[in-house]
Amino acid sequence: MAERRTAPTGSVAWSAEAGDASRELMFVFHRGSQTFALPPTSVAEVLGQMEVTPVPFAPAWIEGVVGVRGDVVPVLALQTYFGLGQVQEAATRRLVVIRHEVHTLAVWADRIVGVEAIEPGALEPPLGNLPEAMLKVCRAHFRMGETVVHCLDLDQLLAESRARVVAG
Amino acid sequence: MRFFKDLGLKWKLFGSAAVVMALITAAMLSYYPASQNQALANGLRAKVGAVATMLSSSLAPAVQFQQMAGVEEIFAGAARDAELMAVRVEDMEGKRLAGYKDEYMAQQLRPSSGQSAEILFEAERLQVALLIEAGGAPVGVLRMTYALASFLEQSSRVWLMSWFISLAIFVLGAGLMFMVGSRIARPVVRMTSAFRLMAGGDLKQEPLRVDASDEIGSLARAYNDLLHQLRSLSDHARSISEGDLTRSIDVQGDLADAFRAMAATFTEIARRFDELSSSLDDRTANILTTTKQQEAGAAEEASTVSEVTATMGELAATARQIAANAESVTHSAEATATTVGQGRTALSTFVGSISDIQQGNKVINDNIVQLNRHVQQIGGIIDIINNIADRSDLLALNAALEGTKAGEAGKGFLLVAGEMRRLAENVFNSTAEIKQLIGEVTEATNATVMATESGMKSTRRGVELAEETERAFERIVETIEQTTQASKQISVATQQQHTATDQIVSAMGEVSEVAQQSLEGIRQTASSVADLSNMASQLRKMIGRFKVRREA
Amino acid sequence: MAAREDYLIEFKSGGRAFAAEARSLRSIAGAGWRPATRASRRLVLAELLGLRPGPGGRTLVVAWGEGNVGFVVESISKRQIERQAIRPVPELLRGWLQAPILAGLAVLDGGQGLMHVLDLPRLAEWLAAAGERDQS
Repeated sequence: MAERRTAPTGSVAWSAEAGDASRELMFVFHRGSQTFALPPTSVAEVLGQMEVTPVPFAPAWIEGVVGVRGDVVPVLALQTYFGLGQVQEAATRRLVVIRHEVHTLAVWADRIVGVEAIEPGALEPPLGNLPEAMLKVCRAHFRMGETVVHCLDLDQLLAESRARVVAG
Repeated sequence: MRFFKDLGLKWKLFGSAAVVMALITAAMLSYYPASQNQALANGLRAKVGAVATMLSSSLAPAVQFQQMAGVEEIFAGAARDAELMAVRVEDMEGKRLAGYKDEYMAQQLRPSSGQSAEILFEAERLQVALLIEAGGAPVGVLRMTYALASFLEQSSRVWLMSWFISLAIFVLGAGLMFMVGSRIARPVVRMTSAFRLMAGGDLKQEPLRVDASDEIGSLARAYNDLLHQLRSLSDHARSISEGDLTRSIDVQGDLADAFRAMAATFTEIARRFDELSSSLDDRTANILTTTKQQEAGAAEEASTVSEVTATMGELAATARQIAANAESVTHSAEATATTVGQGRTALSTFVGSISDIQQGNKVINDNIVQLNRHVQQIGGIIDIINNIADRSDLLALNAALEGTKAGEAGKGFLLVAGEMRRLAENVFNSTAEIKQLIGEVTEATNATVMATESGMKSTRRGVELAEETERAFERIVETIEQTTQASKQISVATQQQHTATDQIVSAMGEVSEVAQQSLEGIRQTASSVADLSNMASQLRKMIGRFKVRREA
Repeated sequence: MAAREDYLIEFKSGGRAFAAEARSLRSIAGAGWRPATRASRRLVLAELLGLRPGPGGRTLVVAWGEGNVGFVVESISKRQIERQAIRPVPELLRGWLQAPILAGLAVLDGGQGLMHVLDLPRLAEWLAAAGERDQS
């Protein structure tokens, strides 16, 4: 994947609507029965259906690896990682390629809502009734209409996943 | 007076002495001969007076008694004195009683006393007159005439002697004064020439020999001290010029103080230059570092610009792709419309053939088969449209992501991406609808086939089905028109985006130019600073010659 | 094998294609290879990887301690895989794997397919260590 620098602007606090510089942007997608959000700067690209090669001696929540423009990208199965149960795989699912610092990984999205702007005060602490695996990784949430959108903290996800492997 | 001031010392001394000598001589000449002469004259007067008195007393009785017989003897006795020229005795009436060579004797003198003679000095003679008294009463007058020849001779000898002595004194005195003056003047002259040399800058002379303790000697000593001072300072100046500022000056005095002050100032200057040049070195090093950083920053900026330009290029490419996709959707929609048109034609043919049902099932079946084929074609095209819509949706998603990373410029992309995704959704919905309709049509045609195959009872059912199919086709056409409209809008929007992107790319080009210029400016600054640094190091080398006493 | 050439050997195991560095192998033997000494082992690769083993056709022999380990695979193709097609295992993935048996991944078919390049010697070591852990 070609290396791209992030935008030279300091803060990312601008929105799609002209003249409205206070709202934060989120990349929102559905997976299973949940809706998640990521910072758009962490989303490298979105791909269509691809073949995932399983990897031996990998934890259950690693679905495998895919080849993206000649590079190897591990695919993390969110529903397995968070213990949310099986997902009916649709042919229209999308692969969301995430780049965080030097690491690249990918997750499946059943349907992508898109890049949404949220109000500054809209972020709330995570709901209490989440499974523990989600609580560690989803540090905030906001509402889009009736839907609860969980904000994925990539630092936490990477650290927590490594810890899980070490713990055995 | 001016002339006198400019005379040499020797001549001044001599002149002064000569003047003094002349005065002394003049005084002497005016006093001594005169007094000598006076003394001579008084001597003569005394002698003559004594002779007169003696004669008078000797002659008194003779005169008294006018017995002149033995007087000649007295006169002869008196005339033994060669200078006595004439003698006469007179009575009170002036009658000559006796005389000796007195033919021409003057008689003007009138003596008044018998004790003191009246003496009159004439040019060559001396006239004497004395009262002859006998028993206290004047009885006669004694007159004598003396020759002044020897007196005059003596007198003139005195004058001559005086002159001679005076002259001798004058010459001796003046000569002595001249010699003394020369002797005094010589060291002064020597010192004068030594001072002149020194004033002219020549300090290489030997010190003067001091062999006297008088003022001249002190002057010579003072000269030697001065020479030593000046030599010492000159040496110091030379060593300073060679760079040694560390020697201490051991001479005292205002000049030495001034010199010390100068050396101190020089030391200070050298030290300051040292500090200055090292601070200059530091500063230029700092500036060089800063300019290097600036250079790096400008280079970074230039590379950022080129990256943004690249990103813009890719965004533009994505926009073009979206536009192209929209166009192909349009094309496909048009193709579908054409196919639908064809299908409709087939349908009307079918309806037509229904009324010609007597012509046999084959014709009906053929038309139905053709219809099915058309429907399948539509299905195929619909699949293509679906595919395109799917890819467009993906493209729109990725474009939106790039848009969030490209900052301000990407805002438009978010809008376009949103529109695109909505279009894709519309297309999906439409194609789903169409697929459903196709399904219905297929059902209907199958039913028709079944009806005809199982021997259709009434053609009306066939016409009804055909009409239903016709309606389905109409709905397909409507949907396709909507899709075409939407994709045309997308084309327009992406065209606009294209223009905006082009503007951004050109703006980036300008920024890049500015960055290049500032880079150039920074490079020039760096080279000027390098020059400055060179100058500073040259300065250092110059100053480095001087050894400066380092204070602890 | 006489010459140790610098290429990869592609083989099938459990119905899947894998690769291994030729120079990491001591030898390639037939299906009938048996351990010669007490220090040697014979293992079916597919079972180790949790795959359905097919009929074994070849054995890949690697050195292990004082003896050897023979990994039984289904077939071998001497297809030359381009070295530049091999990507190292991303650090993230490496942190997640429970066993360090992947030497890399080869990108094939224009970027869609990925083939595992196995580090068979390390797999042998790890198995031995795991076996000791089990026994203790």
